[in-house]
Amino acid sequence: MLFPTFEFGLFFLIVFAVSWELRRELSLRKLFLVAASYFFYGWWDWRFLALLALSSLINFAAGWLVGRTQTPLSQKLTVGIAVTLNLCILGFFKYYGFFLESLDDAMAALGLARDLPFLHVILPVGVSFFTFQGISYVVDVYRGHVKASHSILNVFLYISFFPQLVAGPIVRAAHFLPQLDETPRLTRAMVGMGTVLILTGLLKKMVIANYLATQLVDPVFFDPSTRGAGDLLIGVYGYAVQIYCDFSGYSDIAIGIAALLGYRFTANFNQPYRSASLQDFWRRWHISLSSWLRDYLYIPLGGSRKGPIATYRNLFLTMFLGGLWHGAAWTFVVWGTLHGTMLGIERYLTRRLNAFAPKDDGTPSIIERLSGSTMHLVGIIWTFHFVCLAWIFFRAESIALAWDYIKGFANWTTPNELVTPFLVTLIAVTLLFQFTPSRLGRWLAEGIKEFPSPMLGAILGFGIFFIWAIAPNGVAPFIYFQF
Amino acid sequence: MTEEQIKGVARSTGTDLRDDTVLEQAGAEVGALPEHLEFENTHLSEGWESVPRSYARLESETHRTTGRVWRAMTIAVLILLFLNADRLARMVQSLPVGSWADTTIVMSQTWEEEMQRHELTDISTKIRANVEAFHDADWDDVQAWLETILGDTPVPEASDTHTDEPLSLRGSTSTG
Repeated sequence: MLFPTFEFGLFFLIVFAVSWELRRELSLRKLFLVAASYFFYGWWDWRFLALLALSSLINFAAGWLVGRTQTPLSQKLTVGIAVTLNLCILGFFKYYGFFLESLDDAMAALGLARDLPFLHVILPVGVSFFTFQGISYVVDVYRGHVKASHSILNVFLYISFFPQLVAGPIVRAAHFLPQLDETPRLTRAMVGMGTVLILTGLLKKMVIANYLATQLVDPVFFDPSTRGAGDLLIGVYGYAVQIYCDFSGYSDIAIGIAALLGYRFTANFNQPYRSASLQDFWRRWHISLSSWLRDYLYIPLGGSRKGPIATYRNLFLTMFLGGLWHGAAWTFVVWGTLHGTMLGIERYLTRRLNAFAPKDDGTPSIIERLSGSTMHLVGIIWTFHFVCLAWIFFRAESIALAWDYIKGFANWTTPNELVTPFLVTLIAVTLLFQFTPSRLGRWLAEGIKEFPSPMLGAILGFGIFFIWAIAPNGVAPFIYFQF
Repeated sequence: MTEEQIKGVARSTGTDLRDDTVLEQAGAEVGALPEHLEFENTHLSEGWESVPRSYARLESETHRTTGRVWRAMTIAVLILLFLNADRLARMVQSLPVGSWADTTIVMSQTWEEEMQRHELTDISTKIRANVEAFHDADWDDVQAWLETILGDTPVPEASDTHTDEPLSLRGSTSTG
């Protein structure tokens, strides 16, 4: 069930009505929301409902055991088993085929070809997201960031809550579980924010992402060797905008829907293409994943506490595994490797430049001089283009196609067919919005929250009507559903 | 204990009713009582409970806000039903096969025809035509449009011969 569909509209109206009627009966409300979330998930493929329940059960039991056990060793053991089980689920459904194919290729190359036990494994929607949420819960209980929940309903709802179930944001247990024990509240501010987020999310996904996907990105990436440099350049810019609008659009709608149901999620994107460095980019792009990787991978690996070499290794490993998390393909591995390597280089160069900084003599340091507005602009342009280069590997079907794409930038003889005013305007306007005040959405919400219901209804009704009117026909699935 | 009795107790103990605690019962609104005014359980009629004032304020805001959202959503659905009947008719085509879906599809088609008869679907058709015109425009069209806006070239009077021009550019051409 996709958000911008008739089915989901009907589903949400029912969930909204019933859940607020049940607000005084907390347990009943949670039970209803779990049932609604399982219905939402089962709409895709009911066979994976058992997997979702199993994952929730494993994490509830592990959290409960960690909470009950007093000895650090047994707590560690429980966390270790729970994390391993979670990763086994993820590994089997997501990486089994990939590893077996890679192993088969490697053995064939060495002349050791064997019949390997290939299986046609269907990837359950959102498995990466709910697995990461499960791990987050168990580890947070172990670290004492959140108390082990004695309510199985709370854990089931935390893992399966439908707005974030299939494509995030990856909600933290320490942030979400306490909300489940409070009587749900709906304030004017939440309605204002929810309305703004849902409308902007629909506009991003249904109009910008869908047009760019069908009119530009899909044709360019299908066979890049037949395209000229201009088409390829606008194709990769288009993909940068498409994936941003697709994913941040989904996140906006998810956060908006959760707000209308009385729950607060944290932001998942913060104008990422205005970043002046790659490190800054990762503080603004898919914030829930990058902070998850930082807290549950980078820091446990040692972070920056074990010397410069270990820090570079940890940065690289974190991004490498982050790339692999996105999908079982070598293109994602290259994407993660590129980001990991460049983050290391950026860190090294920053350190080297900082070494030139004079100490307390009043003159501006090299870094301070470099951080002037011109260099900031250069940083933004450089970061955006590096991110775009990495997006080529992320989007291409294979490494060979990605390489064809990059080689095509030397081809200025083939005429450009896709550099049209319409597509250029879509890309330019979206990139322009990366540089508007970051509190623009909040200001709009502040205005909307005071409106009387007829005006709020008119904004919602005419807003959705206008989006529908200008959007292309059909609804493409969200890109991050495949992850 | 009724609200009047509670107020009586509050008056007799010299307490300020505007403070932190209220007595609440589903569907009823009662005055406030101070936190330090302690009742024995027996003094409270069954169904009453002592709750913080902020709780009641939030509860009443939630009650009002859910009603407000309901009204807003009803208005939004009505707007979509009247203005976007063609899209809705297409969307319901994707419903799973079944008698319920068949009924919905037939109803939506009838509704769409009715809206077409009253020309309510024309708005979305016009918006879409303009978007399609912009979509099909090339750089020459944009250049012509810019020249028109900047007044570099004399603009002919608007005529029916311009109908093949992109809709998004047509308005500016005709107005010069």
